[in-house]
Order: sequence, then structure tokens, then C-alpha cells
Amino acid sequence: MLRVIRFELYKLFTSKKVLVTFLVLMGISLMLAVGINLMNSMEEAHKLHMTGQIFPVFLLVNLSDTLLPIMLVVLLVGLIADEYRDGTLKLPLLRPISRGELLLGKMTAAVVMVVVLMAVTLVGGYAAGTLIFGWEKEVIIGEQMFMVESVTQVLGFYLLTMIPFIAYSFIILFFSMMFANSGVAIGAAVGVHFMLLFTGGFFEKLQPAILNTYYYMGGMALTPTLNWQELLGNLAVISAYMLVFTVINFITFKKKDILY
Amino acid sequence: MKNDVVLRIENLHKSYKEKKIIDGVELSVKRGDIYGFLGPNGSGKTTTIRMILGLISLDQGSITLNGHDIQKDFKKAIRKVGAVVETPKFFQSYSGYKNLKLMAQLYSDLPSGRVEEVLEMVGLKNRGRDKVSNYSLGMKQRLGIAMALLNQPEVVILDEPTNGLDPQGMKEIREMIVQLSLEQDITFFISSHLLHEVEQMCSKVGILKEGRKLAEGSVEELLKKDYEAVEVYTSSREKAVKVLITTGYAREFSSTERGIRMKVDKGHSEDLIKRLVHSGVPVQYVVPENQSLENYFIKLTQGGEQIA
Repeated sequence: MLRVIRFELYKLFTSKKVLVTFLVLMGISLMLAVGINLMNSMEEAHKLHMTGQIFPVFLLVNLSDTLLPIMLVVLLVGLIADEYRDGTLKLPLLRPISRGELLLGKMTAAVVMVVVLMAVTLVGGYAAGTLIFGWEKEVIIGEQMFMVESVTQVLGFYLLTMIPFIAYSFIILFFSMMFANSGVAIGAAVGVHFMLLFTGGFFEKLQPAILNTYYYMGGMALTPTLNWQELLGNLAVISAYMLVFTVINFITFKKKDILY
Repeated sequence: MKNDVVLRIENLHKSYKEKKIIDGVELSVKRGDIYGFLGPNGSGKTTTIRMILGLISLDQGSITLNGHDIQKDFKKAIRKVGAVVETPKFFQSYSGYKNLKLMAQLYSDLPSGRVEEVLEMVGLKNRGRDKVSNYSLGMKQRLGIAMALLNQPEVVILDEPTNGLDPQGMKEIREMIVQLSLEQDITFFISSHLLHEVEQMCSKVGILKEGRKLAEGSVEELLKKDYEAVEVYTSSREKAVKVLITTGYAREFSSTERGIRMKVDKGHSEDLIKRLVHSGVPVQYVVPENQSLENYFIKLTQGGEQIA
């Protein structure tokens, strides 16, 4: 099994697409920090007090809705759709590897990609934030006060945000499996993300059942005492998404005819 | 060991949207065979190969590879099998060597240096470090075969291995297959629509048309007949037929541009010439028509004659 995971990770992380995406992400982190700094220097503008400690949190909050899900789709959709279309998906399937093992390898690679994407955001956030704003522990963003006292809190914030993104990565793999054309698969996966986002926005009562709601649960790591009950409830919903899409993915992949 | 069946297909069926693609195909390949899987384009050869390799599901039937049912024990069945399906595909951004290395890592028991070994076998040792995107089609076919040989297979399945190659490239691939079969004792299962190619290298053939097997056997067996077709070049067609029709060994006369064509029981051609000459029929030539696999195939696939 480890051989399959290594095989999938090698392919994924030697892709130029990954390097370009990470560079873009770092660039956006820097541009956002510079932009806030410029805005703060204007007399009439609403001041946004920012520090190197809080900027990674601010960055992730602002990217969670749009840029990160889209980047994740672009990075992961090729794991099945592109390989299927290129005819390379059959290469490992002609070895003594079961389809289940191959899919597990791809799902593991997807999880690792989420972790690395978050890590790059975190590093970019700290680097840009510290460079532009310097280092402070406590900060107020807009009307909300955040007390970021340690790097551990920021790590906790990222860790909690990572979990719903892992569930979303399984949804992306499903669409990557359903469509031979990666363009269509990207459109479908991004479309579902925004559909869920808008549904949550319009129908408040549905929010607890919508995955996108939990992209912001990282905030729990910044509160003085962790609400375990709320956290477990959130994790239960996210786990349900993970479980459902894991089962669907395994069934779909097992039945998929490899025609290219 | 020589007569072991390494690939057995029984009652294979596959349909797509009500359309039958494979309809009750049965065949067997013995150890040491170079088996030619013949059929016109669209006859179901590639679909059958994809089913053998577990790439598409079976509607009905069973496939046994090296004694293991592919539906029940796929990993064991495929362990000593190498394959190239249609045009070989690779990860384009890597070199040929890297592609092979990646595949080699998926096996737990390959000897070190196997990648270099297979590159040498297919004559790509000097180009192994080049990116696959810079390879010609012939080189890609060679790399595909190298990939199929990685796991020291007992059976190699190749789908149209000379497709798109120039005559020199086709010859090289054919020679390579025969050489590997002899030197490495590998059983080959090769699909092709190129009859001349199959006739040259295969010991056994199976012929497929519209998803049904029309014939199977050794090339010799399929072409073996108790009569031969003969064309007599003569200007006196009617007289020649009158003379020969009473012999009992000549039949099915038809007129040709230069004379008449007929079927003659084996061993009577000398008597046929004597009779014509003695009867005063002007004979310019007597030309036996070779029974090639091509003739046989065309007759079978166009006429729909059921032999097997």
C-alpha cells in the first residue's frame, strides 16, 4: 500500500501545476499584506490593525471561501480525470494492485495535498505578515477581537480549517472520477462549492448540514476555552461527508470501465 | 508444461447500451504460443483485451490468466502478465527511464537493475533519460513493450503493437517479439488487423468478427485443405472445362480474364496438365493460387463462414 501512496504523491508533487499554484498563493499572501498596509496608510480609510501573528488567520479566513477551494480543485482534479483521459490511469491498474488500493493511494495524496496547501498558506501568511506588519500577540480585526497569543493557536486554527477541506477533497475526487474531461470536472466541483455556499447564505437553517459552514470552524481554536460539544458536533457532520464520499468513490471507481 | 493453458476465455459477453460488443467468445492460449488475435477494426479485439486485463467489467463469462480467475483473484492473475493496450501511454513529463522506475516501484519483488535491463532489451538504453514527449511513435511502442516486460512476465498481451509504425519499425517490433518468445520463453497474445504480420510471427490465431469468434487454430491448420485453387491461362475456356469436368477431381469452374479458375483435389495437377495438352487445349500457364491467411480471413469475415 505504501508503494501506491508514494507513487501517487510523487506524481502529484512533481507536477508543475503544484509549484505554480503555491507560488501564486505566496504571491497573493504578500499582495494582501501590502494592500492592507497601503490602506492603513491612507488617512480616510478604515484602519485594519494587523500583525505578523494574526495575518495568517486573516489570510485563511479570506481565502477559505473562494481561492483555496478553487486551487484545491485545480490541483486534485487531474488525479483521476486527466490520467483517465491521458490513458495513464490504466498503467498502475495493469500491475498487481487492486482498484481499492489505487483509490486509497489517490485519496491519501489528496489529504496530503490539503495539508501542504494549508502549510503553504500558513508559511506565506507568517512570512508576509511578519515582513510587512511586524510581530504582536493581540489584535482587533474590524469589530471582532482576536487574542492570538501563540503560534499553537494559529496552528490549531489551520488544523481545524483543514478538516472540512479534506472532506471537500473527497468530493473533488468524485467529480474527477465522473468526468473524463478535467475542464468539466473542475466546473462541476467548483459549481458544487458555490452552490453549497449560496445555499448556506440564503437558507440559514440549512447551514449546519452544509460543508462550507465548517470552513470557518478554525475560529474555535482562538477562543479562550474550547467548546468540545460544538467541536464534536462539527466533526460529526464533516465525518459524515467524508464517509459518504469515501463509499461513493470506492463503488464508482470499482465499477468504472477504463476506456482510454 | 509446454501445453499449459495460460489464458482461457469462456463464454465472454459484453454489451454497451443494448449493443452486443462481445458475444460468447471462447479461446485458449497455451504456454509458448504467439497467439494472433485477428479481426477487422471494430470487431471487439480491444474490448476483449481490456476485459482480460480487468480494465472493463464482464457482463458474463470468465477469464483465467495463469490459472487465476481475474474476477476472483486479479492480483495473482496479473502478477506475471505484461501488457500494452492500444497506443502506449506514459507520463509525458518524465523520461522513459523514470516512467519505468515508477512502474517498477509498484512491484515488491523486482531485481535491482531491471529497468536498465528492459531498456536494453528493447534498444532504448541510450535514449532512456530523454523525456517521453520527445520520443517517436516507434520508440513509444518499444518503451511500452519494455514496461510490459518489467515484471519478467510469462504472458505478454499486446494490442496492435505495430500500429502507426513504418515498415522498418513494424519489422523490428515483429523480430523483437519472436526473439523474446524464443529467448525469454514468453507467451504472446497479440491483437492485429494486419494479416501478413500475424502470418509471419504467430503460431496460433483466433479470428473475431462483430464480437464473435469465427475460427481458432494454428495457421497451418486453418490453411490446410484437401484441394488447391488453380488458374489455367487458356484461350479455349469452354473446351478446357469440357475436358476437365469429367475428371471428377476438378470442380467449381469460373471464368477469369486470362482463362479459367477451378478447385482441384490435391495430387491431380500433373494429370490436369496432361489431359489438357492431350486434348489439344492451348495452355499458356497453370498457376496455383496460394492460400494465404489473408485470403482465408477475407473469405471468413466477408462470407461469415463458421469454422470453429
